[in-house]
Amino acid sequence: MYIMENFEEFARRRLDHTRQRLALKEQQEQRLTVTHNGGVFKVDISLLAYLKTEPNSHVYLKDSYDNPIHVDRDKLLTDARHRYNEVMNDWHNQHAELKQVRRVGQLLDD
Amino acid sequence: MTKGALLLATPHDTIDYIGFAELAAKLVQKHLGIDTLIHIGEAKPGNARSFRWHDDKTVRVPWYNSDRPLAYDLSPYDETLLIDVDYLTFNDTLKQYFGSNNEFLCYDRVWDVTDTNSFVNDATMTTAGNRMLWATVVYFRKCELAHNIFEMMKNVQANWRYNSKFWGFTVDRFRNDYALTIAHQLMNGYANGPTFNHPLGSLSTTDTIYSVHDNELLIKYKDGEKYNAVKLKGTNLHCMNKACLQDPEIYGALDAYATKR
Repeated sequence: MYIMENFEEFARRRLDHTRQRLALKEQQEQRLTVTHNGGVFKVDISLLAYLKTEPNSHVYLKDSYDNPIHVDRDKLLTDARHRYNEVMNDWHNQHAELKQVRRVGQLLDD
Repeated sequence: MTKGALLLATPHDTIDYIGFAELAAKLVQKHLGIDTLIHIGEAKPGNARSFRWHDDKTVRVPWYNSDRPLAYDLSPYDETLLIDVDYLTFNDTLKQYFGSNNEFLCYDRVWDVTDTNSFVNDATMTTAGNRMLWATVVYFRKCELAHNIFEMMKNVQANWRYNSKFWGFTVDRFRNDYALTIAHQLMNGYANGPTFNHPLGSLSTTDTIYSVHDNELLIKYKDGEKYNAVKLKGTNLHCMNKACLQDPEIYGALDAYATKR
């Protein structure tokens, strides 16, 4: 039968895992940025989808600082996709590594 | 357009700011691929600060931080990244801001990498609740706005006591974050100006870098009565715990990574 310590240990492990996942999310999201023609863009699914489906090769897009930027659709799409794939690949790998560790705090004892 | 990073260091009896600056500059060169300039300033007495380290020791040491308002005059670059010597660069995120339309950027939020709310008291700087900006990392272009912000910082510094009463903060020591916040607010037309689009990853003075393996840091922090850890990989970090940075093992491992090709 489970005793209180087991529940406590389980809850701590979940908390630990959640913190590590949040840290990983924050680390990777910071990197999802590209500069294009003076504008700074957050790279996300909606930017990629818009650029992929936009029929015009040159458009004006609002960047992260609310400035309208003249955008070369293909160039920004290439840069954004490259950045997105690079970051998501790292994120996935580190997330997979995280699953292997029972508690990150245990690494202090190793 | 020339671009580079400027680091301001001052000789100190107990904290190796110059060694930190050399390490931070190597990490910038490695990840951002830009020139760096370390300006060694004069140790002007008068300001002091207490630090509580991870071993619960509290020390009060001289704090030589008066040169930061001079950064615009000191920088030889058209585009400058002004960074604290305890800021460790582990990725190329900040490179994205060079060549952008922004004239002046700094951080308005901090991310406590341990998620234990260590910086709750730094969100605001005055009794009225004005948000605080961080002078830890500043991007600026040589332009009228940046020039005026730094000139205003000098003015705030010169009239520190007056400003503390006017804005409503304690006067005991000059703090660049406060001077920057005031100057930034005023020179942006009495409004919040643009900031970096992500928070400043930070480690408080009571948490520590436990081990370093290349660009992977294991952070040890106090979680209630116990210690816990979080792993960071390729993450820029403002390491406010100077005591742990001075640990020969930690410094050595960071330096080896920074110089590794």
